[in-house]
Amino acid sequence: MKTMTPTRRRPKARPPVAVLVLATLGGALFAVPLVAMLIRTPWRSAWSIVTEPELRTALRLSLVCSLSATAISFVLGVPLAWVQARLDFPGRALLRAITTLPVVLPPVVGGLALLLAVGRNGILGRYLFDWFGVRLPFSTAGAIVAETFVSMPFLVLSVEGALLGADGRFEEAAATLGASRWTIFTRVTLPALRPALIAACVLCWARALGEFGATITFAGNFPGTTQTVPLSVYQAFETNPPAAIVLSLLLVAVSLVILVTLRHRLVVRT
Amino acid sequence: MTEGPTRQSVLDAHVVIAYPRVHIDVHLTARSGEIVGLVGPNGSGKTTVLRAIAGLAPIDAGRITIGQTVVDEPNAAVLVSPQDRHVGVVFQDYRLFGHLTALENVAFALRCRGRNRVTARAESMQWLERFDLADHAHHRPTTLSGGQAQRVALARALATDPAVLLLDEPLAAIDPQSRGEIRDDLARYLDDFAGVTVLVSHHHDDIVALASTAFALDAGRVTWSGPASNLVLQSARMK
Repeated sequence: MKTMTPTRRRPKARPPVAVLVLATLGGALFAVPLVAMLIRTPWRSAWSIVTEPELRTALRLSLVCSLSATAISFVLGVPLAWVQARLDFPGRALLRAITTLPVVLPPVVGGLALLLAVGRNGILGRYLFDWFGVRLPFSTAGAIVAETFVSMPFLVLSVEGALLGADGRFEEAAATLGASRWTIFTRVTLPALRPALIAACVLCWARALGEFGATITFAGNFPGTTQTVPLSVYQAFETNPPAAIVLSLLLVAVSLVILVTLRHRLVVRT
Repeated sequence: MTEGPTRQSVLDAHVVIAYPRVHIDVHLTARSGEIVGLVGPNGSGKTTVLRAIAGLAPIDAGRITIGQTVVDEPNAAVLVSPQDRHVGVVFQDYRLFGHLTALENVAFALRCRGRNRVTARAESMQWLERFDLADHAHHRPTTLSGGQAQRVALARALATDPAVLLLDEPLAAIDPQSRGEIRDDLARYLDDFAGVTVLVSHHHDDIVALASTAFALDAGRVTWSGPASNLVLQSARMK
């Protein structure tokens, strides 16, 4: 244990030994698998694995789907967060619960629910197909919908937290200057939230990038169409374990960079 | 900016708001060109009266009339939004938009009043020049001094051509050394304004220096009103 520095007037809080032991075990639960992954990574063949055409396709698809899901989440999620934060209406608590549900729901359940809603025979999906010829399941669009479903709640939660933390001072000032409600929203509220909005988008994107359960359930696992990187990890695990490890490490690296960058912004205020 | 004849603006505000801690019942009237000062301790209801006139705090009873228009009368179910009241507000903390420059802050107001981008920028520049801020046109609010920020806020409020101008503790954020100088400047700028000005301060000397008429408020009531120059006498008598 560290010795106390004599200049400090108050002694440092000495942690109870049992807490330290348990905390170490807890930390190890996360650290050991990561270390194992690093040890078992076939570093020599890593580059050739990442540049294989199949995996390049999966990578590109992952980028397209996760970025699209983030864009949709931004356009729909920011207004949703605003409604939840700034309007008082009956059923707000229920709406909040519903829009937060995918955070805790097993994604496979989300995928199933999406199939029932906008699948080929879903309550809306059948009309999408009959009227517009749109078929979401087993298409790239379906993968985007699945990723949006799972990742948008993270954006809504953090934007709503930021909105609740900001008082309406600047909105008031804008109103006295004659700004319409839409102008206030787009020109005052959103610019003031810029850092929080960026953080929310990055968090949302990270979740979309790692999405697996809802995508494979709703959109299937088709190389080039719906097989994103997490899905190809799943497949490679059966056929080509070293490739699975390299791809996993790639996802870990991206997620870790995001979390370290956002470390000050991940606490959601309520 | 100065086109057309000046609106004959009259303010008649009977503000009644029942807060749990204080019941506010204040009636004040003012004519064009008049500068009304509201003075009183914290919690006396000064700022609430301003917010009611601006439309940021709906009144529970009473009536507020600006010019010929009733803007808030609960009994008649009339409530005009802040956007449509033509009231300019300089908030105590100025509330300049941090993501915009000084020029863009003023232009924001003009854009809201229907000017196109080019006209808004040109007019904003004129406003800033008038307030001796031309050198700071492209600065963000955080880089402005207290006095400069106050003038940007004033220019922004006046740019909308309001019938009533509301100033909430305009000198509160100014450091004591520059206070006198900035107060003199403020008096000069307010001189040019043809509408009604309502000014809130808890310093008697600010009201005496800037206002023509004074209302002393305490616990939500008007305890004295009269020429601002008599305020010193009055406050001496009250002690």
